[in-house]
Amino acid sequence: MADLLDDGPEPKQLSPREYRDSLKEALGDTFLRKTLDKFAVQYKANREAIFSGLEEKGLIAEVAAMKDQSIDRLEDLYEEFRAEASRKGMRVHLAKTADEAVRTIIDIARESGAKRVIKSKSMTAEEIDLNGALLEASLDYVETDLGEWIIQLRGEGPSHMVLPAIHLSRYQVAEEFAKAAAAPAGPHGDGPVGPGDPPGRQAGGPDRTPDGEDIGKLVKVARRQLRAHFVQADMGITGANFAVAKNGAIGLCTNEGNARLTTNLPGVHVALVGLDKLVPTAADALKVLRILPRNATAQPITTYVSWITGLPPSGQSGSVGSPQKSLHVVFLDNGRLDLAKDPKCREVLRCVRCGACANVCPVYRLVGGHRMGYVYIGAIGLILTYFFHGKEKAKQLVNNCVGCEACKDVCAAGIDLSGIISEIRARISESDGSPAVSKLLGLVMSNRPLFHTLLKYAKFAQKPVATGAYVRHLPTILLGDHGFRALPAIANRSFREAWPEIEAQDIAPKDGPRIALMAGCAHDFIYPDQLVAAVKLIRAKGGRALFPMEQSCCGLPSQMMGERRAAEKTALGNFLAFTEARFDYLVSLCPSCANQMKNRYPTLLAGSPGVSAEALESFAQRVIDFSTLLTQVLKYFPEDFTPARAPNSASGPVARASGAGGLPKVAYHSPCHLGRGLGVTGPPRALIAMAGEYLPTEGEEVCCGFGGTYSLKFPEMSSALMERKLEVLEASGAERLVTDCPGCVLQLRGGEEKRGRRLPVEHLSEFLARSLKPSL
Amino acid sequence: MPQKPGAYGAQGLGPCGLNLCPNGEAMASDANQTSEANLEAVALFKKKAAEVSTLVIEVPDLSAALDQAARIAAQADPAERLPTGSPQTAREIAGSPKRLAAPDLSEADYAYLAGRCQELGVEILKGPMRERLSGLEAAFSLASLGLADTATCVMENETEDCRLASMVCETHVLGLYAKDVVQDGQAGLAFLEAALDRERNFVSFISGASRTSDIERVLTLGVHGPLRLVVALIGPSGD
Repeated sequence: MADLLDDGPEPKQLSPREYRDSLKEALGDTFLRKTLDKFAVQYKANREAIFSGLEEKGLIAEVAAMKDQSIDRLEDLYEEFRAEASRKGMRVHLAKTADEAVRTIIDIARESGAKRVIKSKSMTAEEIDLNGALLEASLDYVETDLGEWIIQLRGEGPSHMVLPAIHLSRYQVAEEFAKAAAAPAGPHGDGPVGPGDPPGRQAGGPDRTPDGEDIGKLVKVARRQLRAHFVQADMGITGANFAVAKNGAIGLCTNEGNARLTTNLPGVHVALVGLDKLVPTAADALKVLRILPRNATAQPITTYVSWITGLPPSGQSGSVGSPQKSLHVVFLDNGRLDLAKDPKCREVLRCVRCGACANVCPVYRLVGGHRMGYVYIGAIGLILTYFFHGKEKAKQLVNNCVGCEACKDVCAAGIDLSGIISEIRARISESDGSPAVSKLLGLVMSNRPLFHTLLKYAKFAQKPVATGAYVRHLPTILLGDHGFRALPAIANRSFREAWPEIEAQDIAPKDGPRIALMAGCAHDFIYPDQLVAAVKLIRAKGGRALFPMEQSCCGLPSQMMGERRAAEKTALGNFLAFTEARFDYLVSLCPSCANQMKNRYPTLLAGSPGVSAEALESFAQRVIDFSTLLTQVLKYFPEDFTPARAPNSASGPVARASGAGGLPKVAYHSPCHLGRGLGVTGPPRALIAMAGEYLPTEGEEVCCGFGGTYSLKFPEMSSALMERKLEVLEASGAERLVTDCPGCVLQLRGGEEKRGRRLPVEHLSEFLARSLKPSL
Repeated sequence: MPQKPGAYGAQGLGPCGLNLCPNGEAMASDANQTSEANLEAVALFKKKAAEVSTLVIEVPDLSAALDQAARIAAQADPAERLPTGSPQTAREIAGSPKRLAAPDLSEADYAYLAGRCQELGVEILKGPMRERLSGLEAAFSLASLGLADTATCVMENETEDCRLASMVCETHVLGLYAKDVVQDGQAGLAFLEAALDRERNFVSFISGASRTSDIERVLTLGVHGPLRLVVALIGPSGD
C-alpha cells in the first residue's frame, strides 16, 4: 500500500526505544490514567445496559454480513451512488489517493470562492490531513465538534475516534478557551463578537471564560463562539456515516447538532466519505445505526441522524450566479479498493468507526490514543495505520497489542482485529526481515528437539540463581525493566521427563474418553505440577490421559512475533503428533494454546500438504479447554469435592475471615484466550464454586498484562496492567486467586511474590485436585 | 382554527404544510398498525423519551400543542443573543419580547398561534431564519413519525426555515401525533426509503436535546442545537 502522506511534514518515526519512552511518559500522566480508568469501567457497565434485551451477536453478524456483501461490490455501489446522486444535482467525485482528495476539496473551495470553512468531525479528513492542506491554501477553517475544536486550539490530533479530547481536563480546556477569547480574529481565535453584534444577553458582555470548574459554562462558551463561525462560513465540510447507493443519499450521526448546522448554513457542503461507507440501501444503513451509537457511547441512537439527498432548498447559493446550494460528495479510495481484494484483511473495511475497540483495550486504558494509533485510534487504528499510512508508521504500533482479544469481542462488525494485527506483524517481518530476536525465537521454537535441549540446559544454568520455585538471585541490572514480578524457575523435572512414570501409574486404564494433553511450554517445563493435577482429575472420572511426546510449542509466540513460517511449522508438527495419538479430546490447561489450536490452526494449516480439510476441521472440533472438559465431558459436580480449607499462607495484609461455612473466598481471573478467545466463561466459575466460595471481583476479564512475548517487549505496560489487577484483588477480601492459564499464573503469582502480599495464586487444576474427594 | 389532529397525515400533507409527503396515503404506517400496537409503541416512546431527557407533554389536539408552544416560549429564560453578525443593538435586545419561530405552519394554524402569542406577549415569526440565527427562545415544528424504541422524532421535507429554526432555538417543541408513533426504525423503514427516493430531501432523526460529553465525559445539554426538546404528543396516548 503506498504511503501517501510521506511527502508532507511528518513527525519523526520513533525508534522502539523512543516509542517505549513515550509509553512511559503516558503511564506517568495521572489525569489520563484516572480518566481512562473511569471511562473503561463506566463504558463496560453502560454498554451492557444498552444491549440488554437485544440479540447483540445477531446484530453484529447482520452488520458483518451486509458489509461483506458491500465490500464485494464497492465499485458497483459507488457507480450506483454516483448515477443517482448526480441525477439529483449532487456532485460526486472519486479520489484515488489522499492527495487527490485534498486537491479536489481545495479546488471546490476555489471554484466557489469560499474563504471560511467550518468542519464537522471527520476521521476521514484526519486521514488525508485535510486541515494542513486548508491552512496551506489560506482557507480559515474551524472545527465545530466541541472536542475537535478544543484539540484544534491546542494544535493536537484526536486521542479517541469518538471522544477526541478525552485526554484533557476541564482546566486545560478553560485555559485554551481563555486564550481563544483573547486572541485576535483568525482561524484559531476569532473574537467572540462579530461586527455589530450585541453583547450576550445574560453574560452582559464578551466571553468571560469560566475558570473551568463548571463544564456547562465551558460548553456555553463554545456554543457562543462557534455560532459566529457557523454564520460566517462559506463552506461546510463533513464526513458521513453512510452513503446509501440506491438513493444517492448520505447519513450523518452527531450528538451536538454541529453537522446539521454545517450542512445547512454555508452555500457549499462537501462530504468526504471513505468508499467503505457505501451501503446498498437505507435498510442496510439502519442495520449499522442500530449498533453504532450503542457500541460507541452506549446510547440507543445519537441525538441527531441527518439524511441528505439531492439539493434541499437553501437560502444560500453555492456559487456565483447559481440560485442553489451545492453539495459535493468526495469518495476516498486511499487503498480501500485494494484492501477489498485482500482475502485475509478485507474485513477491516467492515469497520463503522465506533471506537469501541479502544474503549475496551487495556493498553489504550493505560496510555491513551496518541500512543495507540497514527490517525485512527485503538485496535483498528493499529491496522488502518498500516493500510492507509504505510508500514513505517505502523511498525512500532502493531507490536503494542497484548493480544487479549477484547477488541475482537466488542467489535460492532465482528472484525477479527487481533488476528489481523498478527497478520500485519507477519507481513512487516516478511517484507523487512525479522528482528534478530524474533528470527532466533522462530527458529528455535519450530525445531522441537533443539528447543527442548535448550530448555534442559537452561535448567542447569539457572542453578546458581534459583531458589525453589523462583529465580531469585539475578542481579537487578540483568532484569532491567523486567523485575516487576518474580520469575519462575524451570522445573527440575519437566512433564515430558516425568510422563513415563505418570503413564505407568495408570495401571488399569478405563474405557473412558481418550484425552490427549497438550502441555505447552509453560506446563511442560515450568509448571508440570499443574498438569499432574489435571491428570489426577481426568483419571478420577475414568478418562484416559495421553501425552504425545512429539508435541511442541503451540506456535502462538512465533505468530505474535510475526514469524509466520515458524508458526506454521510448529502447528503442523503438533497436528501430526496428536493425530497419530488417536484422541477423543485434546485438552490444554493453557487457553492460549487451546485457542491457537482450535481457532488459528485451521487458517495456518489450510492447504498444507497431507492435511485434509476434513481432518483439520475434526481436529479443531475436538480441541477443548480444561474447565469445559471437566464440567461437560467428565461431568464433575459439587459432590465430587471436599471444599478446600482456607489456605495456611493467607496471613498478612490480605488475610480475611473465610466466607460462609468456612469456605475460602476465591477470586477468579479470566484469561483472555479463555473468556474471549474460546468464549468460555461459565465453567471455570462453576468449578470454583464447587470447591470454594466464588467471590466475583471487578474486571475479572481484563488482561493481566502477560500477553506472552508482549511482557518481554513492553515490560512497563505489562507491569502497569498487572499492578492494577493485583490492587483490585488484594482489596477485594479474596483469600485465594484462581485462574486457568499458566501465563496468567506466572504473571500474577510472580507479581504477588514481588509485592510481598502473599495472596496465593494457583491454577484451577491445582485448586480442584487438592479439593477432590478422597473416594475419587 | 387549527386543523384537527391527524389532518396533515390523512390529507397526505407534509408536516410543514407542503404537499411533499413521500407517501400520499399516510405519513406513518397507521393503516398497517393496529391500535393496540400503536398504544404499546406510544407507551414505549414515553418511557424512552425520559431516558434521553426529552420532556413529553400530552395534548388532545394540535391547538393544545400550539398553546403549549406559546406558553413555553413565554416562560423560557431569555435566549442568549449569540454573535451572529445580526445588526441588532443591545437596547433592542434588552427590550425585545420572547420569540417563537413557527415557519411552516399552515396559515390557519399560524394565525391561531399568533393569537396565543399576542396574548402572552411573545413575538412570533415565520422567517427568514437566516436573519435570526440566535436569540430565539423556542421553535415549533411537526414531526412526521415517531420511533418508539429510541424516542426519535423524524422530521422531513421542511423548508430551510423550518430546519434552521429547529437547530438554533433554545427550546424545540415538536408536535408528534400519537398515531404516527411506530415501534422502531425497522417499522419506520418504508417511510425513510420513500423519503430518500425523493429528488431532494433533508430528513432528521431527533432524539433529545443537543448534547456533548467531550469535556471530561460529563454529559452537558445544549451545545450547538437546542438546550431542551419538548415533544407534544398529540391525541390519545393510551393512558
